[in-house]
Amino acid sequence: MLEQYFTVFCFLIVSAGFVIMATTMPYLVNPKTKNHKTRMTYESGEYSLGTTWVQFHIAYYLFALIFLAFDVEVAFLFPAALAYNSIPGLGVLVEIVLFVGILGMALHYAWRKGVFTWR
Amino acid sequence: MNHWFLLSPELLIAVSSFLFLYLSSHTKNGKRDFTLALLVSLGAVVLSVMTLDSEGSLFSGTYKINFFSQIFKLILSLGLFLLVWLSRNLSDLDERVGTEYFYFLFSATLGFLLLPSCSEFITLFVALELSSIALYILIPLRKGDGIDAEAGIKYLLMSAAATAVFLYGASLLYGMVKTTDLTVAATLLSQGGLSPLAYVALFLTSVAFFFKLAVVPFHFWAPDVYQSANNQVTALIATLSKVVAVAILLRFLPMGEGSAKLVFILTLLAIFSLLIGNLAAIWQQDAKRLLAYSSVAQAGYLLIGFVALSDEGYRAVFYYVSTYLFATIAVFHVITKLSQDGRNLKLNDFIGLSQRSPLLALTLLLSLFSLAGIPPLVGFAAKWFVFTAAVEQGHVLLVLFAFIMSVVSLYYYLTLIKKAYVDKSDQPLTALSLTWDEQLVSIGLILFLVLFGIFPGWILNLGDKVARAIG
Repeated sequence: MLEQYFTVFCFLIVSAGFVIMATTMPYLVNPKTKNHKTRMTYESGEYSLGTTWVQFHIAYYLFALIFLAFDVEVAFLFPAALAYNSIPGLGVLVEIVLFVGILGMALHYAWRKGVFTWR
Repeated sequence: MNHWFLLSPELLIAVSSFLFLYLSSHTKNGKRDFTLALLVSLGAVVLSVMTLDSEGSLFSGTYKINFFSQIFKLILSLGLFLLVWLSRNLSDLDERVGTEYFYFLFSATLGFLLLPSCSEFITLFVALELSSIALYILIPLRKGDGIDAEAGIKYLLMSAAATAVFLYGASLLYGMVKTTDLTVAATLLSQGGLSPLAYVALFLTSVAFFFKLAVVPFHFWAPDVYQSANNQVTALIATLSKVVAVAILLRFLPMGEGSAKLVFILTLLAIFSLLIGNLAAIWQQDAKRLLAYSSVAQAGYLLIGFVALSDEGYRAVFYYVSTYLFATIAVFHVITKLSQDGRNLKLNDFIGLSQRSPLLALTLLLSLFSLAGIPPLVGFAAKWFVFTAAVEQGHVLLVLFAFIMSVVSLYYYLTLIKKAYVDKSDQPLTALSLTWDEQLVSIGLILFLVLFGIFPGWILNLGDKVARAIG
């Protein structure tokens, strides 16, 4: 009876092992060089200007959230655009308009709440 | 039948929630929002009655309409109607978020309405998240100190963890049956009994719903969230969320019929829920914290119906949860009326209620008696059916334990009733006058609690149909 749980045990080991691997591997394989450049702030390959310990405007946060919503929207629109020609009728267009419209309402909400008014 | 008509309750709620989102970015008008919400939820009740007997399969078989899903939709929309009615006085919400409250209330309910119909893991997950995310925002919506945010974050983190466990279980199930279709998965899994991996996967997928039911050990969020969320949101979590969790468990757990191990796990969960829920409730001074622990205990009784894993058990569970919904709403009706400014009530705030408003005190008395399981109320019949179903399957000791625990639960329910009826106040009492609709709802709920307790046959017949329609 007990050996039947071997599968369960295996899954447990594999899923736990995956997490442990993913967290310990970087320690093992990352380059160990330590110099001035390793300690520099990474800023998309650009030299950062001044210190990074500065206060950001809170509007960045809301801005990022709204950006995220539209980023996801674009990601979902790509497959719809690819499959558009293979589905006849205007049904797909209506669905896309609905989808964009619903996210557009979020934008409308943010707009009305003054997220884009920077003060 | 026309597909749009089959979906009409969900569509109505979806469209109205977008309407609330639109309205929330324009002028605020509490009266208008409330009236609109009340009309829409009434419309949802009517539409779910009209679609009650329809059958269908939508969206390439991922969404099933049958008696099982439609009866739960009817119960949920009735619950929504009463919840909206309870929201007529949102005094502890910031006026600026009054319309957003209805938006999130309706989108949470949309998730709840979708859940019983989902016959596929991905759809189920999306609907579950829709309801959960709306709840994450509703809980800390209350105006005031930081404790609301604390409860909101607690609920968010624990719910996210429960959802992760659900996904892990679902991935194991998918690995075994190579399909995300629940019905196909159920038939494939039960061929020749469940494998050990299938038990584990089944249990893990159920965890997200045990979490919603606040079964021990997934109950840690309940007291804090009940205490911190405003009264109406607590009522939402205490009623609709539980009904949906039971609906999904009614579809999952029958897959493990005839397996001793699942029965063992469910028995353990039931015992600990009964023990911890009932004993912790005794110490509570805050009425909503008391209700939170009482709901943990009630989840224990519900699990006893699941332990039976028989059609009688499912029927009893259906009867239990559909009556529990109305008994709990009756308690919250009293709480929202009594707490005009929306603050949390201490047990001592109930002192002298019988003189301030006899009808409200009677509603409280009967609903608490019903939760405690005193004849001839619905709560007694519910416990009776659950216990007989379990005894028929030979779980006598468990039922005996539950019986003893229900005697323990009498203590804290009666404490509240004693405050309302017996204790003398040292301050002068002010009369609470009920408006006509408050009287109507009180009387309606009282009639429900008494009549369906004496004549349980009608709901029980519905339960029979539900048990047959599972799967």
